[in-house]
Amino acid sequence: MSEERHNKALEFHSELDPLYSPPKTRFGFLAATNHSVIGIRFMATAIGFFLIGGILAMLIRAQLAGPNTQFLDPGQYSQVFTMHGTVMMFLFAIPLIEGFALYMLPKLLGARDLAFPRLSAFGYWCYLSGGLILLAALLFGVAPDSGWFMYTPLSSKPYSPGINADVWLLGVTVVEVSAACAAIEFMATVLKVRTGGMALSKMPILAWYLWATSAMMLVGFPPLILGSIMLEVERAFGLPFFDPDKGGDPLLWQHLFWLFGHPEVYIIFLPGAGIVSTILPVFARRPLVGYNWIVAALIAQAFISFGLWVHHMFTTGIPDLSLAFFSAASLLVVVPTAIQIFSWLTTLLKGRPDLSLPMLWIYGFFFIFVTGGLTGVMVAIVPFDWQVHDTHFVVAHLHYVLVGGFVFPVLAGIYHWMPLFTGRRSDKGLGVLAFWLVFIGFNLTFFIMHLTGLLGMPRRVYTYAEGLGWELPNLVSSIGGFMSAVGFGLVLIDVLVQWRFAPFVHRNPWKAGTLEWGMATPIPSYNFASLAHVESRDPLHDDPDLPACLAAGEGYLAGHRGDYRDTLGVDGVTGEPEQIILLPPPSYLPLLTALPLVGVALCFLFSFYVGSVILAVVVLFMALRWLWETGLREDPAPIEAGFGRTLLPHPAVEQAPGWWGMIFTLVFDATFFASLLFGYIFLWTIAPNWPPPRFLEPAPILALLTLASLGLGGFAASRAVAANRQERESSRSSWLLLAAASGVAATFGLLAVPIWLAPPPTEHAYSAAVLMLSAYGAFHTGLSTVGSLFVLARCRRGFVSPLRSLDVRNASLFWSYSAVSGAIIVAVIHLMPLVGAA
Amino acid sequence: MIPAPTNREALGLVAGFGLWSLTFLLLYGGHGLACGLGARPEDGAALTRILLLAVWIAMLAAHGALIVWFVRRLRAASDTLRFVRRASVVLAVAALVATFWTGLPVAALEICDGQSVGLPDPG
Repeated sequence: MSEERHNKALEFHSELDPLYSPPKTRFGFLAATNHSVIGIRFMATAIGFFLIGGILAMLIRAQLAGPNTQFLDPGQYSQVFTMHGTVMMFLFAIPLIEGFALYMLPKLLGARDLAFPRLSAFGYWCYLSGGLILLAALLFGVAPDSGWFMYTPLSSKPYSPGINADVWLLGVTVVEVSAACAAIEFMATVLKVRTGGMALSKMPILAWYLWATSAMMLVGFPPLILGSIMLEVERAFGLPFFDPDKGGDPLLWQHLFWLFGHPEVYIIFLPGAGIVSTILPVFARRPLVGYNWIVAALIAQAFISFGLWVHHMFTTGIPDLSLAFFSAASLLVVVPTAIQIFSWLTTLLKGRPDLSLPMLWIYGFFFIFVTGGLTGVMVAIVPFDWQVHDTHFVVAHLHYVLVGGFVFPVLAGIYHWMPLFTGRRSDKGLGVLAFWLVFIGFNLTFFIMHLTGLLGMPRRVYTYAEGLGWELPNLVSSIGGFMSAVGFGLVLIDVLVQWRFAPFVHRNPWKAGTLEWGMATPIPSYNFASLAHVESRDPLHDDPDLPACLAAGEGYLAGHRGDYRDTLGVDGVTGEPEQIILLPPPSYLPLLTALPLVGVALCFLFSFYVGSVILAVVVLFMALRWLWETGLREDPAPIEAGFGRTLLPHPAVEQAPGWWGMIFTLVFDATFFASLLFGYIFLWTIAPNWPPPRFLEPAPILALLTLASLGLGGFAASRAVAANRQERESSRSSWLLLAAASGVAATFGLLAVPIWLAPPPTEHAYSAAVLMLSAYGAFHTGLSTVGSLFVLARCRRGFVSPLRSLDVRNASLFWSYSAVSGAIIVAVIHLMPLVGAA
Repeated sequence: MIPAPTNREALGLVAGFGLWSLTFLLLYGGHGLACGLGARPEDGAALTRILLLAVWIAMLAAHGALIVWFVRRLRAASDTLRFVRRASVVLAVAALVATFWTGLPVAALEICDGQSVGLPDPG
């Protein structure tokens, strides 16, 4: 770097670093919203939970090492294996992915932060709090004990009378709020927050993987959240969704759980595969073979993985033909997986791979994941699955897939990207020994466990008798388990030692081509002093001087404009610069919104329902307070963005990230609603003890009035958008007021059904489902009412103009969703009784 | 000058497998509904099979139409859009194959059979 560039780079650094760092006050760290800070927090917390989950795994292996062991009693063992699965799936794997994506996405995309930095911080506080609730329960001996998938009726009140199951339902739901936030955030970020020129065809492959993962999270988590709410209200208030005596069905839980649970496997695998697709070409020293095919394969995989959920339910008595659909889809998903594996192998064959430490973990991944995939094909075949269902064979299979497909690539990633965090070289050191201990230990544990399963040992038994032939394989598994635990411990020590003592390294030590290496190491708080214009997938290969140019401000948006943090927004497909996204400053609001939300769950846990309601109102207030801070009070002028372009700030742009945030939120919401409708129809057609003793009283006038209110509300909100566009302010206010009034009427019409017309919700699953549907609709119309009034207030304070129309457009979009979903609810709850009676 | 947003082009990437998902739901849901409403193999369940086959074939035709449409769009694609449009075609073809494969059991297996998990009838 020339001296002039060097001096410029230092100048930019001294300007930008204070702007992008968390406040340097005593509690300033609580206000951090910077994606690197939040990402590291997520990952560090997830690794902490991994260690806890690992200790629980060792307790399991100690217990099963020999027959008739009394190390743990059955109750303790149930808590330990439940918490092992829960911690690893919900508190380690998913949050680690979130943290990794939070940290990495903006760097890969050449941006300074994500689309909604405060949402990331909010998600972290939810995750930490939900995790601590579960951890506290473990320490106090009231941890969940019904298995990590919480099957009913075991997890229902009669068979789990304590708070153990409630801890799972509420704790995991709070954690899932963070997953939902992350999914919305990542979807909007990859679509809009990229650097200039980064068309979809030039996007780093890892960004594609993380985008597909986010889309799966967006659609995969709502069924679980719905199931958890339904089971919790059954346990708390007796709404019998899963009680067959009252028209409920335990299988509904299984459907809702696995609608989430099977995509979850791919949600965990895809980021791991993305890491492989990113690292492997670097060490093979040639571009990834079949980029386009991999993109197509992972999109196909993301879809097909939603058609597999019933393969966890092959033994539940579902008709053969239905099983065949899922068996076919389970075999089908092998194809896109194989495309990726063959692309990686071809890249290796065509390249000059070395045996660095990250590659060692990737070779380990190949062996273990492919083995897991092969047993996956075996359990996709219905008759074979019947034989091994609920045996240790399945335990071995799932560990091969998840550890092979996720943990090994993550460890490769840690060693690969460590210089970004530490600024130091990543050397082999202890890592090689650690790798072999983990690799051999893992295979000792789980390869032999296939045999234990084939010998008939069921999952979740706390001990076993002598003479069944299970002693030796269990002992070997336990020895292997402890060996891999030592290996993981050595990885931790190795990372800490390298963090502290490894030699410093200049940027891009691996000579990679993607933009995350286009920064100084360790990375600065703002990522890039200016943003690149990219022409290919490997901009650093095109121009090795690019990092120095960017640091010296020779790109888009050099330095800062006023006190704003900002980054570039682009057209989603072409990558053409489109807007300047103004990023929020550090804020305590994410923490102050998360705390009452956690309070809602805690009050519910201890049956203090009034407290839950009060705190829910506080959450709403804090959310509105948060939203109030967004936007501008004056129409902005276009700003010089670099390379001869002038762009408007995002509040004045149609395709602002907030617009897409609302769309993705509604996709999440619509999936939740579709799951709810599925539940209702499932119970109506499949569950025993239907029809219910009585249906709701026919009320056609109420139904029509509710429909009219819904239609009027949606229409009024859309007219407010038109009035805003035409600069008719008083008309805009009138339409917003009318929308709010319609919302009140529609809310009343929806709530009237369960309050006055339907039988008591505890009487039968039918009336419970009617209550749930009505509550869903009323929640949305209520929120639409508040939203309309909120936007009206914003209009009066100057936040909205024909140019700055995001508030009123988002309110209208949400109203439209409320109106459509509300109309479906009205039709379902008023018309289906007529069908039932007929 | 800001070009017109082309974000909707990205929808092409999910169109093919979106149709596959819809077909899957219709076949699985339709079969489940028919069994729940009392269709049984001993009754022939011919109507159910005809309906499921009709859904399957109609959706295969929809896939075919989608592919034709996407291939036509390919010719008019600019450089920046070509990648997305090509990928959309590849995914639409893959989705057609997937729909054919996933729906095959409709033609081969009994409707609503095997609800006893293959265990012998105690009676």
